Amino acid sequence: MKTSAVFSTFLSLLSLGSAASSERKSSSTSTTLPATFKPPQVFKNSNLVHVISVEKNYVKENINVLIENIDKTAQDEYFVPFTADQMSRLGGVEVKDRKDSSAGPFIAEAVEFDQESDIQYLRIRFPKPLAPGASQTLGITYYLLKAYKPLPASIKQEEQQYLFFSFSAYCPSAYTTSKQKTEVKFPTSNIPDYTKLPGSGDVKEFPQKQGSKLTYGPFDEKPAGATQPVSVRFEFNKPVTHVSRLERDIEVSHWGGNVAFEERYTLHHRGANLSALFNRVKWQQAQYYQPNTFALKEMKFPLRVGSADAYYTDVIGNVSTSRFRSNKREALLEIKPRYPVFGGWKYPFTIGWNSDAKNFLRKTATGGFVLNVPFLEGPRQQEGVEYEQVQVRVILPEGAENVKYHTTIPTQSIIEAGVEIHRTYLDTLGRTALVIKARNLLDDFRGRELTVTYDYPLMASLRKPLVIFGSAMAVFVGAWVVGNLELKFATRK
Amino acid sequence: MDSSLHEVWQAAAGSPFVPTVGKSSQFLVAFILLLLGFSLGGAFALNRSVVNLPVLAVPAALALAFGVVYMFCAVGVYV
Amino acid sequence: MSLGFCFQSSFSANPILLFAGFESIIHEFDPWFNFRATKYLVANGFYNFWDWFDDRTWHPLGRVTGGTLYPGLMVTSGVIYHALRALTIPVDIRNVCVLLAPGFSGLTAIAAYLLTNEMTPSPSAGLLAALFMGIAPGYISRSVAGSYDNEAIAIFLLVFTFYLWIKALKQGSMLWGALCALFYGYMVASWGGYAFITCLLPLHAFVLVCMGRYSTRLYVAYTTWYALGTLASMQIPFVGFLPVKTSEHMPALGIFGFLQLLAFLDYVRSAIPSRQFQTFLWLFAGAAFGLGLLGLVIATSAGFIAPWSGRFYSLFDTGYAKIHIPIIASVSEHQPTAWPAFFFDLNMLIWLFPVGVYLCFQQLADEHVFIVVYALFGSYFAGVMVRLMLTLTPVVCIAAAIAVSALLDTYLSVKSPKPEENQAVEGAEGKKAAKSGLKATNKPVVGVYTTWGKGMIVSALAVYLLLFVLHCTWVTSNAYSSPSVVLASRLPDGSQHIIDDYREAYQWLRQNTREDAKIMSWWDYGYQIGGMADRPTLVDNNTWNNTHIATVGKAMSSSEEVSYPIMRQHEVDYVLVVFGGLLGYSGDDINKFLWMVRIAEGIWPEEVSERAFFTPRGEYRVDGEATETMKNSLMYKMSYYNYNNLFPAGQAVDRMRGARLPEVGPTLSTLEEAFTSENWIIRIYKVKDLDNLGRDHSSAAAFERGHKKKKVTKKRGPRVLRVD
Repeated sequence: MKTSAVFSTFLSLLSLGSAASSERKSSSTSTTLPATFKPPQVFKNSNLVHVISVEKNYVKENINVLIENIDKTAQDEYFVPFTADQMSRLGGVEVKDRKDSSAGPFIAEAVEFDQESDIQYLRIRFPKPLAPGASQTLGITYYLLKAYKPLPASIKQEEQQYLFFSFSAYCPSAYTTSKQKTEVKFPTSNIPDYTKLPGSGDVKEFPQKQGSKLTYGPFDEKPAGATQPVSVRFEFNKPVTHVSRLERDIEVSHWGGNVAFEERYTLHHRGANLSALFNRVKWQQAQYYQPNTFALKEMKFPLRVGSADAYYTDVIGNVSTSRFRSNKREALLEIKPRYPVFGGWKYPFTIGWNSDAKNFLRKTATGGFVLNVPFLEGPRQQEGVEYEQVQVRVILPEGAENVKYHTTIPTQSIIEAGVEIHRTYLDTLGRTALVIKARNLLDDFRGRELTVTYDYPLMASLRKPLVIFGSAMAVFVGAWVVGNLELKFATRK
Repeated sequence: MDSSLHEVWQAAAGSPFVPTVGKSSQFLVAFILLLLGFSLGGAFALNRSVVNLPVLAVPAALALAFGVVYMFCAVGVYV
Repeated sequence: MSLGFCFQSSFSANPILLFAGFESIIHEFDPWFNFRATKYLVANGFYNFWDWFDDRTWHPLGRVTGGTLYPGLMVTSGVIYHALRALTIPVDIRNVCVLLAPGFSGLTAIAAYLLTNEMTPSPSAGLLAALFMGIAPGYISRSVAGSYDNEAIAIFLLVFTFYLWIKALKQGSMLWGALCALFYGYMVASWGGYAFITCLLPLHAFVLVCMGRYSTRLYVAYTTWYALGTLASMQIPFVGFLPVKTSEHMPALGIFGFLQLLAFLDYVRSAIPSRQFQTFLWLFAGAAFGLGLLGLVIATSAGFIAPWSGRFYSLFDTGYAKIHIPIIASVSEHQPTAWPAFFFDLNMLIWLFPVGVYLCFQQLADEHVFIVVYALFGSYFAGVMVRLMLTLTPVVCIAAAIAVSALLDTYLSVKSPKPEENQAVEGAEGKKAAKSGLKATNKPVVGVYTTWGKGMIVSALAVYLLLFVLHCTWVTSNAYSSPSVVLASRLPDGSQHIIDDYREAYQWLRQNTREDAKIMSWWDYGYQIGGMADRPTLVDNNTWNNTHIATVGKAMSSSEEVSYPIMRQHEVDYVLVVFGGLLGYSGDDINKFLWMVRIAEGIWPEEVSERAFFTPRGEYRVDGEATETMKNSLMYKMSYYNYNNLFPAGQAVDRMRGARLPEVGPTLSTLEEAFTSENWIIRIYKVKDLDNLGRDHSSAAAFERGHKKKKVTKKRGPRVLRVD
């Protein structure tokens, strides 16, 4: 009874603490608009440069656009259209003013108006409204995951992998665009197929190819919503690594002075499947003659300096093919999967390490604590890594309260955040755990910060020893009482 | 979400968190405390009386309590 | 007493240290099943575990797992797991399982201490017994961390049950008898070897009766144990009515009846005059014996009592299994023990053991009779089966401890005995000393009483003990602490290189095949595939269905044309073989192949013939000279498929068998290579689906290779099964 009462007061404390986070939860969900919504034609794109980078195994797009307010009133909302399919794979949206980097935050969020509609909008809210007739240069960066298909879909072990990607040569926009061009950057100059379009002006045919870059445009004025589907097929002889789920636990221990990290990956290779099954002889020979392969052989995790006790396991147990180097300048964990991962294969694994608390945890002037950890670490691969679902759980000590957090991850990527109870070793009430769920993140965001502040009263920190003290005393007193009882039995009249 | 937290972090740069017992000495401390706890507990077990309850049992329980916590940390389960 | 506990815990820590070279991993084969079953128990609760029907083994038959296992081990670790959780220590169930065996080995040492203390008044004997028990290699093989097997707890239960039996017998106490029955029940729930207790206790009782030592103490102890213990054992579904039905349990029942008769006679003797009693006794005994024998014969022939099972026959005739049940003989643990194994597993204990037994003869109280009986019984069975060395180890430790402590007690006291004591010591030790004590004391101190003589003996003993500890450490670290799933080798620079092929392949299977893909492999790997790869298997280490195993053996040892229909009928998706040729790994399938052939031959003698795998000169070869049957067998093809591509032309070598392989490797038409691990230890093949164009696979494969009309050079197998 008593414990449950303590528990409920504790919970109420927690809910106070998490008020800040619940508030931000509501702002991250999409705004609902009527089903017939159409973005008002209040802007004109004077000049637009669309840069699509397919150098990594995700697509990074960058739209630099000079917008002009053609309405009579000041405007502060700009809409970017996406297909419903793209919307589910969209991540890491960041908007900046290209001219003035100090201009306050641009908030980008999905607009919810009609689930059935094929066109969905992303709304960008300006820090301050744009006056009529004025113009501003926006830099919109976003990423698309699961963007490619291997073509051919299955190849031999020793063959080169080609990926297929289709997009619109005209940048999709909700507004009239006067002038635009689209550049596509490739990892190599080997681009066997791409859609050709009739040229305009002094260019006979689009696109123009310069090394590993294709340029469609410049095009003249296009109306709102104009599209021109084109597709490219290019060599990509590297693994298409896709992490469908990453669970990252960060456990703070005040008693031990330690911050423990554990990451559980569900890793897939989304590249070409093997047309004939895996052949060890060919693989071993290729290791010498032609080490370049689209199979995933190795991953490197650069960790924060001071990391120690790294481990690498999977469902069956420890994986012995890993190397960990930790010194004053770096901490590098190199792991090899148990088997080379080819297209269509899956390899879930777990890694973890420890670090001294002093590297991540500080005491604040007000008597609380502040924790600063990377939101995402993960492997650093030349070909990139994409994460579909990410769950970061910061497990604070038992009894921590008044939890607040801040992260520099794009707000659009965060789905929900909240405070939970996690029970583990020597816990009576359970530890306070801040859980942040995000989606569609990329290795470009590794190293982005997550800052958490919390209070940790002295009594809460003494809870564990007190519980053990209580149990030990109960045993001693029990022994004394039982001993006395026996004495009474034994005494004769 | 509160962007002022980053400043809190910066402001606290001078006071990193340092535990009472450092990682390297945890095992030693835990071992000594547990040894003390078990010997006092053993002494109490051999000679159970009201007087010994505060004299032996309470210190034993205290030593055990902190010893257990530090032993958990020392073996890698950071509680 | 408390000193003893410190002693024991320090020694039982030994096994834990030794596994530190590897991670916490489950060893060998059977432990993987126990581990999987424990996980099931923890996840689904006890009642679901009881009713567990496992459709992921023995495809397509399935296995009534809940009713065909000894649940003691799993329930024990389940209880420990939940107890730790209640104490807010949520340890992973795998770690509980891995560390259960070393934990119980500590308890075994305590039980050995208690049992030995019942035998001799000297406290040092108990401590020595605990020490020996803690480090004897014969037991450590089952008590290293990760050896999560039934024996891990069963040996503790065995020794402890014996201790309780001795206690009950000495005091004639119903309480101790009931406790003995309780632990006997626990033992029955844990290990099939409980029959050892079931036979040994009646034997002890019988010997006591024959020695004319019948007493009410024996009556009370035995009847309490038998009645309660039998009831307890019948609670286990796997045992069920066996205690009243099978011959193995009959001695216990017989002695139970016999003791009733004796008790009755005892009563009659006190009631009637002795002359009449003599006649009565003879008549009564004859009638009872005749009736009993008649009843047994009738019950056996009518089928109420099952005759001895095959496994039991093999205990009396070591050649029996080889001829009639190759599946039992194929397990190396079921082979008769080679004599060096005794020395390897017990070292100096083996020559101290007879001394201890001799010392027991000297006193020969009821409990010493037990040690003598146990020693004889245990020695016989340890000689018959390597595995039963385990049941001998406790008595060897106890007897050796009695011997060593007797020596130490005699020689460690520095003082020369006074005349009266001298007399007493001589009396106790039964020496043929001269009766004239006075004369002896007048002489100068010589012989056993000199200080240097004592010093010599004691230091020699100390050296022996040290050597024993060294031997145990060596044996344990070399022979018993390797988990066999992970192989360790040394690189040229001396660093340790871990060969992890098993887990590589199992993880591949687990992640990259369908959830219900059926894997065919030899039964040794069944439990591991179930545990690590989590895929259904055809056969596993629970060898309950010989025919099913023989079917797999036949598929492995026949040509592709015969094997393919078998595999299709059993919905096999992948075939897994273990191949040690590249690494020189001896535990591979080609080395086990003859057992597959033999087991298959036992069921299909006209289709599989062991002789056809030997060359005319009687050699078992894999190189160019191998017989056609060998070369066409699926196992041979799967082992060597593609292997010669790894070497320059014509230089392919099997490093395990030291054989140069033919230049042209085998071809496979109904299977395709799906995965081969890094060091080629595990090779996995996918069974091809039926051909799209309705061709048979060999012509389809020949077409693929480019010769359209391949002449049928391959000899067809003896008979071709077709399934359409």
